[in-house]
Amino acid sequence: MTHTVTLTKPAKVEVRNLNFYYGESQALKDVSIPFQDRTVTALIGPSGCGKSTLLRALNRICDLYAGHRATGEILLDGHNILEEKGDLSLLRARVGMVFQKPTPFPMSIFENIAFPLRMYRKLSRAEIEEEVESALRKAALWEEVKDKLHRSGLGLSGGQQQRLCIARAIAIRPEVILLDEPCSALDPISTAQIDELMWELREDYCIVIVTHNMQQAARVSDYVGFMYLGEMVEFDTAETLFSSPRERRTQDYITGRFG
Amino acid sequence: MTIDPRIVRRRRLASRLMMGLCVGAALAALAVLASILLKLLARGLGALSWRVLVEPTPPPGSEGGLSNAIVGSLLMTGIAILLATPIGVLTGTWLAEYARKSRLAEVVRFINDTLLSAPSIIIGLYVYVMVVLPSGHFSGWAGAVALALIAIPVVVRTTEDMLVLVPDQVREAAVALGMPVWRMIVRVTWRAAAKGVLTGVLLAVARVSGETAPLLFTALNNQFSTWNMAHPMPSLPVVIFQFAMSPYKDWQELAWAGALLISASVLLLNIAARNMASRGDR
Amino acid sequence: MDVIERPLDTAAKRVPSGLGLDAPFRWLTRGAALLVVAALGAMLAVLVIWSWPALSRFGPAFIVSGHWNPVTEVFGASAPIAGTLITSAIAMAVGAPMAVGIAIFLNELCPYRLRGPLGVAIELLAAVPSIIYGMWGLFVVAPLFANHVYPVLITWLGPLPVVGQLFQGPPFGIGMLTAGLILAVMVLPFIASVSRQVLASVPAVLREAAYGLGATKWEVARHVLIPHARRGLIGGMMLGLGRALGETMAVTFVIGNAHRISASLLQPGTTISATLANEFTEASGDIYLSSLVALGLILSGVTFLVLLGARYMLARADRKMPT
Repeated sequence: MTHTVTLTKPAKVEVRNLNFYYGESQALKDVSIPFQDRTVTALIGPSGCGKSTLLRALNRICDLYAGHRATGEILLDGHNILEEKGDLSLLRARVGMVFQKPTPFPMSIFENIAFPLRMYRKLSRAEIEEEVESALRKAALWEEVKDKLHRSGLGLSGGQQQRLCIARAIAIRPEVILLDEPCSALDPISTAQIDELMWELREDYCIVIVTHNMQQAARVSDYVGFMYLGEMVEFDTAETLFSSPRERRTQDYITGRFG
Repeated sequence: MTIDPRIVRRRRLASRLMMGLCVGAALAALAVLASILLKLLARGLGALSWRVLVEPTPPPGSEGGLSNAIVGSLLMTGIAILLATPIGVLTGTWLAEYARKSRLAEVVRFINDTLLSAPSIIIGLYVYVMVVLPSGHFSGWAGAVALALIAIPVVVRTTEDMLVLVPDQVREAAVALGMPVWRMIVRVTWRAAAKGVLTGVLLAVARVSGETAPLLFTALNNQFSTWNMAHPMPSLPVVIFQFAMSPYKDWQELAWAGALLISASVLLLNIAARNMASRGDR
Repeated sequence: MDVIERPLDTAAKRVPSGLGLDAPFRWLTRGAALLVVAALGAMLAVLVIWSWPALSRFGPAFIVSGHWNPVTEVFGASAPIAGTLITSAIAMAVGAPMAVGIAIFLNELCPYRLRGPLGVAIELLAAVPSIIYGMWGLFVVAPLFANHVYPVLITWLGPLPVVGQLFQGPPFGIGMLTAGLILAVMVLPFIASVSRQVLASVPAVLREAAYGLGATKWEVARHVLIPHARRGLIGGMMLGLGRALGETMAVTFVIGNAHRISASLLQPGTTISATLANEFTEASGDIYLSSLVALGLILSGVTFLVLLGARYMLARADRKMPT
């Protein structure tokens, strides 16, 4: 990339020359991209372009499965997380994740949030209640669930479940939040709620979102990376990338000619 | 966030401890398997000789083998499988091809599952009342019937499971060619499911050939060689039971030889069935 | 498409060749199925009819009384019933957690390459005939326990109040505890196999979400996998319990076959199935035989109920959660 993109803030996470392999096949080819703090960066591209792989490398959730290999650097505050050995739970406490499908745990709404809270801090019952309420408020879910905190999280609607998962992710106060197509299983109203939520969370976190939905990317993100066949084709501010992309492939994709 | 390192450390420790226990459980199970196999080999190989295969069971203190028990086991297992296979395959066929989700099919399935997990000694008791008492004596036939009752549910279950896997389009295609349904079943779906059904039969043989409890009061035992199914008939498992529980050293030795024979054949049958099943997957 | 919508046999009725055999073939398969139904029906009838003399003569005392005397022809079956329940309880207490642990090990911890072979090895434990477990118990476990385990238990646990009652008497090496532990090994592969399946059916994203929060392996298992799969796990355990209750040969070898209830787990006892195996061929007299069949009826009833429970739990576990 000869073109330089002006960054307004320091990069919270900086990916440099990342190559990622599943067995013999290479899923990411020499990918470099900065993710700034207090900013929403969207990753877009057709299925199989490597955007989810990149996202899943950022908190090393990919380590749950055998048979992959990564070279290059992923710097979180200047520290290469690919070199992290042994226990990854502290990394994951700093880099939270929300998935494509809502993933409430088989426990009450309250416990869904209290469970991760107790993993990192010693809190009294009152403090936990306070933290749970604050997380649910931030996720714009409090008013809807405050009277049924002790019912199963599985009884909520899809959009509510997804906001519960966001509340759960922010309850432990991560620095980075990864969202892997968080709205693909949701209706338009729930999607709009989550978009709004992201806009608010942007005040406090470094947010990376993978999405298929170009409108969503344009609505919520400050920066956008377009990926194709494992490469980072173009990275720019959302405004520039959607209005005047430099690359032909980007243009074809955002105008809906493929993907 | 301020992370309390003590809590994190404690959680890691707890996790390591519990995961250690899981590994321990697996190791314990493997150790049991190893202990059983080693003991069988150590005692069984020493006791195994040609004599075991060709001479009948001796009275205590004299020499002999297990030939009559081996013959009895082969006979009764063989007849049991010959009885169980057609009944099991036909029942499985009825469930998968004709009855499907009907009320009666649900009843048959439920009864089959009940038989599948019924305590085998109860089967022995039942055959005693139904066969031994009316005929007035223990017999190889009674033993074979008891074993067949244990094998049938296994065959029914695998036959149905395998036939259900055959796609309905295949059936429709065959019938559309003008085949009558029975010929479609015999020529098309049975053939498609043959490997799976054979796997089920092999598993049934393995299950049945190690069974002891249902033979205790059906075939009983017999010190002498017999091919006559109307007489009480010895079998490897029952002879092993009798000899192992006896105080005589030479009988115990023979019991170990028999135990090795039985285990080796049962384990080999299982591995063969497993191989066949996994080849069927491809 | 109307041919496809119709039952296959009506579709075939338009076709001329070989049709004559369709109905007989259908009846042949139906007949086989009815034979299976009849077999169980007759089994139930046999058990009820033949146990009636004993049950009507002794009434509730048959279950409550511990007096089992073939000479005076008075039969009370509380000893074998208690023995069956106690040995099965030990088997479940030891075997069920171990089996779930093994399932967690194989699904979550074990290196990928070893999962297949180790899984097969555990499943081979289920293929070992029960008489082999009996011999192994009698010739390997019992001496080991008599020399090294029972004396330790008696010395250390025997003097304790209340619990100490369970660990009294001479260290024979055979008895309720040995039988229960061997049953634990025997039910292990069944429970482990079902547990592996139901734990593996927990959606991958749920695991990822838990690991993504930084949860440890144990926390993921304890708070996510096990609660999510609990119905299936309970179903698997009940399946194992069904086997433990009815298991005969392995128990007969190591339980000591004593018709009494003793508070100590280290003492010989008996179970329903062991009593049947030992006494059935020697039973003289109708009431003796009837009492033994009644034992069989009780065993069948209990096993049946347990397996019914297992079916229910497993069927409910099959229904996927709403996501």
